[in-house]
Amino acid sequence: MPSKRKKPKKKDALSNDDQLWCTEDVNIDDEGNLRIYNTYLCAAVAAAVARARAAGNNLKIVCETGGGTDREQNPQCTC
Amino acid sequence: VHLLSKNRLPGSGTVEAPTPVRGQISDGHLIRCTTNHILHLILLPTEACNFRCIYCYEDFRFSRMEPWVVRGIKALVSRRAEGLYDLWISWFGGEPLLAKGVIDDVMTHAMDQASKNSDLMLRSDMTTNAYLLSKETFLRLYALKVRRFQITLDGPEHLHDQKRVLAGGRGTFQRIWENLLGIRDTRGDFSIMLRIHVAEDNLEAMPEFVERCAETFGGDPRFEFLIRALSRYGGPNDPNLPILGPEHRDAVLTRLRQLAKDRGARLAGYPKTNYVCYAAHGNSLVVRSNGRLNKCTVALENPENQVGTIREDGRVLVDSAKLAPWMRGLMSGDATELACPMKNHVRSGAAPVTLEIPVAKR
Repeated sequence: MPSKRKKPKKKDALSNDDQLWCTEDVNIDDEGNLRIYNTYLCAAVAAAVARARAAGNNLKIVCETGGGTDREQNPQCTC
Repeated sequence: VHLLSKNRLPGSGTVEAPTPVRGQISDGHLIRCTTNHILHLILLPTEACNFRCIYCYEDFRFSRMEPWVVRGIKALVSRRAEGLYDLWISWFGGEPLLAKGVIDDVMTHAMDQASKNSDLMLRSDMTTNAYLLSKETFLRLYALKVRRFQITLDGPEHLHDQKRVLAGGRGTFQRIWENLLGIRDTRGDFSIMLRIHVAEDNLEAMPEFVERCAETFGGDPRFEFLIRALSRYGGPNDPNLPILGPEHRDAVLTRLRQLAKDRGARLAGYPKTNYVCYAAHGNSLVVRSNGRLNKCTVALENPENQVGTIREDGRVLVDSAKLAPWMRGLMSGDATELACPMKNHVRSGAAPVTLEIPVAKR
């Protein structure tokens, strides 16, 4: 179910390090889904996903413990 | 970007970003910390404990998880199951095995959801003192997919029993050791992390104890050793703890780890580089036994750690102003902020949090 949270105002997260985070940057909706509103973080994650996909990672394989146990199956795993 | 389809990308979605974020966080970490295909729930089925470890930081203020909270967790799992690839349930406490019924209830439900959603991988771990981890209980947990355990020893019996005592004061070593032997003798694919605390008062006995542990469990690849210095986590007895002196701390730990390794033991996570604490993940929540939501399992009562509540229908209410600082490391890439976002935690308009805590859980 989509979040009913109001769309926050856009801001340039890169322009002011002192305000790297504000209350509108991230939220967890009532379904427990993370919502990212911070432009820079959104872009960084999107770029990370694109790079992973380009490298052939289907992104469906997640590591058992965060310790790289799926590395053989998933050579792109960086954990 | 399908993986993030539940995250609203700004603009048209053709966002350009330079190589990762500003610091040293890998693509893999960044994705895992933000994807909604992973849900990590750290559950406290009870905050009561049968132990009174001298270094404990908890105050046992809430006991067994309220039935409506259990219903809320199950409802949340049901709501999210369809879109998840990884449902990771960590049992913490208090002592989680004092509330086995809650664990059974939630895990049975989670397994049911996993069976209905072929993409969903369910995994579960537990931090337990192991006093109640009999072979029978272990096998039940194993059947419920709880396959990874962290169990702490504070040295040989006469020293362990000075620190990890029952609420009535009696020692606990013998029973834990017997339970560990029972687990070792079972078949199955599981993982036991033996956490061994080193302090000034057990230093002399440690080489022999580590050898004993390695000889007993080191040949079994399902056991791994986490040899750490005893630390202060914010408990009332912190000033009196015999913490290893900084002048020899690293050398002592290195020597003991090498000893364990030489005796065939598998070491856990050394060195732990690029570690990102679960509290920095946007898809990880701690659910307290009274329904409160936290990010960190150490500073449980810190106001900045009270980020929301779960409701009986499985919906969660999270205060975004309190959530954001926990995830600041994803932006900065700062290793300290990623490894322990509780350190130097500052919220806009709030007083800095000065509590200094180590990276790992108890």
